[in-house]
Amino acid sequence: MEQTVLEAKDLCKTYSNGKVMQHVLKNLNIQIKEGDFTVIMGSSGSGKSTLLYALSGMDTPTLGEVRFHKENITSYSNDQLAIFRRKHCGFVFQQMYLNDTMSVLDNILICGLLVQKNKREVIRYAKELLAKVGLNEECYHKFPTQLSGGEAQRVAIVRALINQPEIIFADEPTGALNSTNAVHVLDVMTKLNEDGQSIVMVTHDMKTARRANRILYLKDGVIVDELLLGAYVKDDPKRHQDLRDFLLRMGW
Amino acid sequence: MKRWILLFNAVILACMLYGAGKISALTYEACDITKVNDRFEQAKDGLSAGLNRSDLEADYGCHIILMEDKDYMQEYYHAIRNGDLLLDYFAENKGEGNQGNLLGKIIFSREEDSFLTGKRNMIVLLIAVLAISMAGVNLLCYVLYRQIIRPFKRLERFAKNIAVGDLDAPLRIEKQNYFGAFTESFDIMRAELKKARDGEEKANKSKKELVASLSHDIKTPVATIKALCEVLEVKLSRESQNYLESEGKWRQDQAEQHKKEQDLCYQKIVTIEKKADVIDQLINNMFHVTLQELSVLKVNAEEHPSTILGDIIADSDYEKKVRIHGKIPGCLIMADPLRLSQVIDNILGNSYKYAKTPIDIYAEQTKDYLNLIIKDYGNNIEETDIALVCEKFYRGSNVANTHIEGSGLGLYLAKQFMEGMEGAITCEADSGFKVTLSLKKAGR
Repeated sequence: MEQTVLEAKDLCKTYSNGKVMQHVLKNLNIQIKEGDFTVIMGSSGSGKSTLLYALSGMDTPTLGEVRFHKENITSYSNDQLAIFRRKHCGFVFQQMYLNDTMSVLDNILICGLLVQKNKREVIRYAKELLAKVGLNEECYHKFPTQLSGGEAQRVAIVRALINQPEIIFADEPTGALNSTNAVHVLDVMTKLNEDGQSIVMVTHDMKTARRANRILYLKDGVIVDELLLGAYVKDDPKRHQDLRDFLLRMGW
Repeated sequence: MKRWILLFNAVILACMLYGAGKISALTYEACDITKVNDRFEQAKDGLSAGLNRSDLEADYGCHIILMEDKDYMQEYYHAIRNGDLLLDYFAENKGEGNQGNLLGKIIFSREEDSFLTGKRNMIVLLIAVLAISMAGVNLLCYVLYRQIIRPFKRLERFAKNIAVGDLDAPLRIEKQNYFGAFTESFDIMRAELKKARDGEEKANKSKKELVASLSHDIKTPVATIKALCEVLEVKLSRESQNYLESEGKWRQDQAEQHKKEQDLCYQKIVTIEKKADVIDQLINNMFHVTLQELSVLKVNAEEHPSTILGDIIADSDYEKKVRIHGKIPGCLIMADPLRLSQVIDNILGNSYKYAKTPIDIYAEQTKDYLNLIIKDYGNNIEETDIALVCEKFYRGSNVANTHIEGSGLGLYLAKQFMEGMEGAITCEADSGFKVTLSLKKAGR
């Protein structure tokens, strides 16, 4: 039986603007199992990103709770949350947010050294990860401006992985990439997932969604349905068809 | 009107500015030789014409000394010492190239040019007069505005308010104003109108309430009629059964006669029952319509955080008998806070009235609902009443001998409200009276 990594119970997020209350998330219940590749889809404004932020401890929900390995993180203070995120979560965004004044390796190390003390070990692991995502030694001392979008995103993924997080949160990681680069990045994500990495990803893109083994569809702050796809198989026509039917049914 | 006042002010101000400009120009004029020359020429002509010396001096702001004066030299030196402007005064020309004799000097003092000071004083006076008149006119306008125009404007607004049906805004009355009494009568008119309208509303409402309570009163006899009909039906059918069994005792024609009568009777009773049903239905409809008109049934359910429940309970708990156990789980529920508070108010009120024990409240969560359980320990509810307490006008059998006021509507309305919020209300007897309010979670 797979273990539940992350669990949300009656998650609500309300933004209030003076008198007007905007309920973005409404009583969401989600369980994320270890090794899951979960994709959250939905039209814009349906609360996808808000959900991701609430799940990952980047934002506190208005009501309800988020449990990480049975531990309620909603009661954490901001500092505790920061430590929690640093130790257990990896983040990949549409923008890479790499520091332009540091080399690729330094960009990764600065995150790694926040948690681990052994610098040599961190460097070794960073190099191992870089090799895993297909970046060779030439890249180590390049600066982010010298990288292509896809390479930069893969560096961002390595940075997310450096602390061996239990779960990776990705908010449209392929949104700013061209299709070849997107495929590269997705291949990396798929490979990570095959190695047992749990991933939660928000996306708009069907090609990206096809990589997931579980798709949640969000509408007006409610999970209206979910689709289980099983492990990713490349160019599987049935998988494609299932996903398309699902999205059509959801009114995509 | 306003425009004219502004224009007037502008003109006066322009005049004053012009005057001020003139004053500053005068200081220059003192050094303006041509101007001084003009005055000199005029003074000289005056002297030649034999005008009074002191008049000329006053008119042209100069000092005239003549050779024949005793203190001529003294004045002359004095003027030189002062650095005054000294101009020669010759006798009229006697011939060409001949200037004639020097008769005296005309002195224009540097310091006190009385001619210029006179002129300046006049201008200052003029400006002052203008300023005073401007202030006066403005004050007059202001007083006019306050005393006459503003009350009229207020009256206009007031009339508009009344026209759109806002009878609550009073008219401000200024007693010292000429229009005080006049406006007061307007306000009396408003008050009377309001009284009349409120009275009408109240009458309407009480009429509707009368209908509501009448329909209640009618229901009881109708229910009796229905019950009696049923009894009669049963009795008749049993009689005819008996009659059939004991057929032998009757003559044939007698028997037929009897059967016919009984059938007729039976049909009539059935008709009575049917009509009673119709009356019941009509009363129900009328009752519903009246309640809707009294706008007691409108429910407007929206998404609210469950934290409002705590506030609502605290607001309704007048006698402070409620004990909330545990935390109310945080989630988003569909609720109309106004109606929900009415429901909880009613339940707590019932408990105060009938049970008079502490009230325990706790919340449970199911997948789609948040259940709020409200429980008291009054031990006087009949098992048989439980199913009926949420019915319209039903009051428990224990009420009859306790003389507790009530209409039997509270829980009925509570049920309507809860259903309006897509929730439910259930009542149980559990060593006391236990009410469960199920509130639907948003998004389910």
